[in-house]
Amino acid sequence: MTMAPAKAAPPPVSTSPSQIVGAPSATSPASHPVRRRGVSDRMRLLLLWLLMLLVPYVAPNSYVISLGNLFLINVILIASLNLLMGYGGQISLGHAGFFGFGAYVSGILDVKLGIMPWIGLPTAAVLTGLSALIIGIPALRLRGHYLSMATLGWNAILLVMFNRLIDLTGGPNGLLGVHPFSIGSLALDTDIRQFPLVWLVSLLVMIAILHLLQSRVGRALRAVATNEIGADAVGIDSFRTKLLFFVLTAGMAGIAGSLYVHVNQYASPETFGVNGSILLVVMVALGGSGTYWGPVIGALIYTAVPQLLLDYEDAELMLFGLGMLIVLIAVPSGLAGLPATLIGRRFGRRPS
Amino acid sequence: MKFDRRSFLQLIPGAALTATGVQTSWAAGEPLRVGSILSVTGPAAFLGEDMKAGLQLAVDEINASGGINGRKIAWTFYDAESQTQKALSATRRLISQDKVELIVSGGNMSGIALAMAPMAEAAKIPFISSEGALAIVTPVADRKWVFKSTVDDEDVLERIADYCEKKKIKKVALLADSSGFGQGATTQMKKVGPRRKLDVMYETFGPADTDMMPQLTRIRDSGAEAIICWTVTPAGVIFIKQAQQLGLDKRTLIHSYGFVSAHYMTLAGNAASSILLASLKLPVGDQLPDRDPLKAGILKLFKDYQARFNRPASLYAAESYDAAMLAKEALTKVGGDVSKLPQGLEQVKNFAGKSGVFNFSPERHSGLSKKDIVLVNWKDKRFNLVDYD
Repeated sequence: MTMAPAKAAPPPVSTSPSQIVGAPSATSPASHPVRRRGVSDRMRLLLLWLLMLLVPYVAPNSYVISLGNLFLINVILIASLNLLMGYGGQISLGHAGFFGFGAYVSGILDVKLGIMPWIGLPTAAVLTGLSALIIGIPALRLRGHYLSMATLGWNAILLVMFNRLIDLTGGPNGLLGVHPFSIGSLALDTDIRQFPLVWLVSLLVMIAILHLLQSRVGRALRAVATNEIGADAVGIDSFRTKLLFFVLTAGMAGIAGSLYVHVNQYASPETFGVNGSILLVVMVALGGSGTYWGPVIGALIYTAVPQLLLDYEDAELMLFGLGMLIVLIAVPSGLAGLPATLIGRRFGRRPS
Repeated sequence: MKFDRRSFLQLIPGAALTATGVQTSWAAGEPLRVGSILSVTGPAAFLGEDMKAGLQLAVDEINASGGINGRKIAWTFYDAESQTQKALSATRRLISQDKVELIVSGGNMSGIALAMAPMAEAAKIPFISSEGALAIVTPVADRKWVFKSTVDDEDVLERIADYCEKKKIKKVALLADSSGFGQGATTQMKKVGPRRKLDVMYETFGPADTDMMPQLTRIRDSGAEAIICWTVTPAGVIFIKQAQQLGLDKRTLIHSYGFVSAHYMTLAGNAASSILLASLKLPVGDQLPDRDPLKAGILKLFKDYQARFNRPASLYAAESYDAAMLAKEALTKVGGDVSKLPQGLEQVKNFAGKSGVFNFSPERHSGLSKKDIVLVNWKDKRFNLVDYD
């Protein structure tokens, strides 16, 4: 990555203490003005994803490929949450719930009704989006943290449903007998066969997010995040804008859920708890809230670090937490903002 | 990430050919790679710690006695943190990176073991589960490589039905929690009840509940003579206390094997003396009649476990210990060939473990039976044998 865009933009981070303790998500959209560098971002995206196509060839075993699959699913999850939270300033504490909703919709359609995953995937996206619409209509009319509370509650309700609707979901033991995607008679049931599909879907989602950000509604979203009253004053319907993105990002989480359930051929409730939602929010912040590449870094950490720490057993969670603390204190704009922070430190802050 | 030399060599195209030839061979003297996944953190950790200790004891014992057919065990352990996703990744790692030949224990949560079973099956790697759910090993046609060392809920309920028959009890209530453990029992009771001509009423509660008066009042009014509570959570203590308050302690109160914990009994105080527990034999090992095939083994485990970990051995430690010992027994039967381990296990008959006497067959991959269940009570600060057979 070149340093040019980072230099061109004013350093997004001020190192004053109030910035450090405050939620970076609420402030960063304002500090990331719209940049006309869409073409180069798209090229970088394609290059990065083309590079990732090498994973199956260089991976020493299928375990590493399976981590690649998990990483790409996590990219969809974290990038969609970042769109809502980083660019839109709306914090959802139910993203893991939407992820699970998508997983169970697609999984149940397959197991109970025999509907193929190719139909389950769009259905999961649409139904998850619809569920977000139902929550969003009342919750997004209010300013402040009401969306966080509503989504937190929704996640808790979903978790109870996953656990208690035993006939549908299999209850706490999980949903068994989910089929993988298949092309004709070729079942995508090994890690290496699943990789191209997950790769393609994640690429499409990332392209969609890029286009959304460059579109009129994307600019409207950032305006709403910066100042809702101001956005209303220039003729943006802030409620509709927020609702649209809430529904879209939930739909993306639904897509990730459908991929997850058919790749793993299994789903169980505890994967989709409130803890998971909070961790996703942390990963958005860690990668760089309101930056296009932040979620990729966030997903990399979310996928790789627990695996790397697997050898440390008891210390694992502690090391994970400690690492997050250090990053968020040292680089409050997230790891994607690291180059800018370093440049800012070396050359001092330039007046803009 | 841990890359061993072999996986590193595979990065170089030419070396891949030479490396693949090595993997299938198993020479005597080369260590037997065994993998285990347990949850030693997270909500299920109270089981995981003991199960891990049980495995440690078993592995060290096997290695001290010269290994299995001359091969010592190289043990790889991962913490699943009570999360299925973590366990699934760890399983993939065990199978494709660590190249284990055998998996013992699956996360000490039925949900985790259920998810791991198809993976082990697909990779044709023997998996001996120390988790409870019957669905881990059924249908046997799809679970050729999967076995479990725990008792089936159905057998425990049959054993309780035997006791009810002895006491001429016709009407019982099953008060099960809403977790996988409780739901499993409810499903099984719906089969066992009609078969044993028991009139069963069903009530449920949440694992975090602090009040069971509504359920217990309904049970009291229904005239159920015995009340079976099915949970592993502290809510079971509330059941004991509130049943006493309602005067239900004059009826037969039974807790399942999931509640056999000295800690819980202490919490229940005086009221604990009013209940029976359907348990495996381990907690009353020293009170078993001398003819019991398990007695000597249990006493030895008590001693070894106490000496090593400085705490009394629990049922859970015995379950994982047995899982490892079953692997040894089966491998010895087939001359150490891991690919024949399923056939070896299917030949295991009357194998006295620590939690029970194991009998496997090609039709049944779950080894214990209702004969391994006894009824115990809590008096004088310890479990005491009440009903042996």
